[in-house]
Amino acid sequence: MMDLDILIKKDPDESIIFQMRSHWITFLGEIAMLLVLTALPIGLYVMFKDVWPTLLTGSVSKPIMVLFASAFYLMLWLFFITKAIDYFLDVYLVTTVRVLDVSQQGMFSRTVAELDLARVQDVTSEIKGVLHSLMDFGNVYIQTAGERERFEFIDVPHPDRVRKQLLELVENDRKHQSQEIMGLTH
Amino acid sequence: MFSFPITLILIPYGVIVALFLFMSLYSIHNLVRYGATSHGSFLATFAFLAGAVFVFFFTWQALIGTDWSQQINIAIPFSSIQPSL
Repeated sequence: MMDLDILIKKDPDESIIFQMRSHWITFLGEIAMLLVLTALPIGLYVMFKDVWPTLLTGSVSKPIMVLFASAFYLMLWLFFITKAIDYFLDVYLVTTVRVLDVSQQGMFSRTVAELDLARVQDVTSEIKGVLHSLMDFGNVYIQTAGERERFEFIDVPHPDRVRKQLLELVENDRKHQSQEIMGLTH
Repeated sequence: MFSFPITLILIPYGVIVALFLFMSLYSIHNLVRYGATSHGSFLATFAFLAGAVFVFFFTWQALIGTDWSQQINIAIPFSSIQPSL
């Protein structure tokens, strides 16, 4: 679970209700690309082994080929890990007071957007497509009264359940706030 | 024809390795800072380091026995043709 204190100045009685990230299936594209690109130099090796064998065994050409392949795999691994960290650190957090959208863009860019539950006007869930329906993941849109009109949870698991939980939290927050106001006026 | 020692090709490789190390350390810093409390971040860091060690190990294995004192000879096209008067 992500540490809230790093991201926001939280209220004393605020706690995380749930934390989500996009469904793991959305990361399969990156894994497939890693596998294809990993196989590419191996394919070239097999091809050159028959067509131009001296290239792979020559006393000068061999170290050049090895270093080239090594550099390729290092960059590929770095690219994949950057994508994995992007996925891992893109988190939607729902606390007793607010909703947070933490978004990692590459290595050097990070955005944290927050929305008070009191500002939530409407929550919509959407499951579109065969894969989304089969795996039960989709989008949740939170309509707000704030500057940012819409908060979006993209490709999260169980969007219907998330919508219900969010609406319950908004309701509880409203009750809590009206009780506080009543307490102040009496 | 001109020639240069084979060790020169280690320079661009060294630059790539330096870039890789810098980016790796920054990625691990991001993971530790923002995802420190989860097992996922520990696993991701471990997998990343294991992958890097794997690549470096196989590179080293493949380069054992290389004679780094060799020269790379590159022929300049048409350099042997004498200009005629």
